[in-house]
Amino acid sequence: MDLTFRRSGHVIIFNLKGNVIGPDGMKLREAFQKAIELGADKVRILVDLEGTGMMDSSALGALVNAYTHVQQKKGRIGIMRASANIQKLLTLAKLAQLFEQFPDEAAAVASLSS
Amino acid sequence: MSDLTTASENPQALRDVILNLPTDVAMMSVVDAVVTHIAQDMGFESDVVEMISVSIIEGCMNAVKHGNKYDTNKRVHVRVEFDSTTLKVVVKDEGVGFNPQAVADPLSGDNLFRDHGRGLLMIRAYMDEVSYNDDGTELTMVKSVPKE
Repeated sequence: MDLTFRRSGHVIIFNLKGNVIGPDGMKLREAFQKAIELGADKVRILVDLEGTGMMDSSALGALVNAYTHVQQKKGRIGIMRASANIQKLLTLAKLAQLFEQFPDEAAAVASLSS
Repeated sequence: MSDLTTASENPQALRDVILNLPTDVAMMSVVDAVVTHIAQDMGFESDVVEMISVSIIEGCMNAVKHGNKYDTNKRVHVRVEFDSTTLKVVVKDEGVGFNPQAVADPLSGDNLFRDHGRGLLMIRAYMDEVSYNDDGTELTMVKSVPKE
């Protein structure tokens, strides 16, 4: 997994590349936690999944953990450019409705910043 | 790695690979590499290979975390059996076992918001057959190449 993050306005954007499996889930969880802790109230997080291959349950758990903590800070978390396989996985786990989904960064940042 | 599935003398013959691994999360990539190679050679589509790979990782991670509870004195035993059409992977831990029926449904109520507990759901969705032995220490996963 290759994980980077940057800020666009009030939105923290995570870029995930490659497979997110095994120990990657814990790294992802810690990165989300750090961003949420450092972020202000109403933290906004966008996860860009373009280039993300496989995800295992640990990676899903990291996303859900981030969702829960963002909710506690009355923030928002969205994802964009998830592959068909990841969309299927989110649907399988009934998590698709948990995350706002966006087609591209401009739309995501505009929505999450509002 | 040599070609494991196209031995000229009898391509239908059942072959197996046995791995006895330390209880170490990092070692699970070894199992993944072996099974992925075999699955690709068997002709599974690439997205199915990914599903098999995730299932194997989930099964092995469960053995390390929940079965052996990270006890480095215990091992994870993996047996991969395959012929030209069917892949079977058996993952056995040295823990006390568990009752798979007692695992909380990750799709039910507040369980949706838990940050763990989806591994078995994914394995069952991705593999054709999934079963445990009586004491819950041995997971068997089967995937077959679709008939044309």
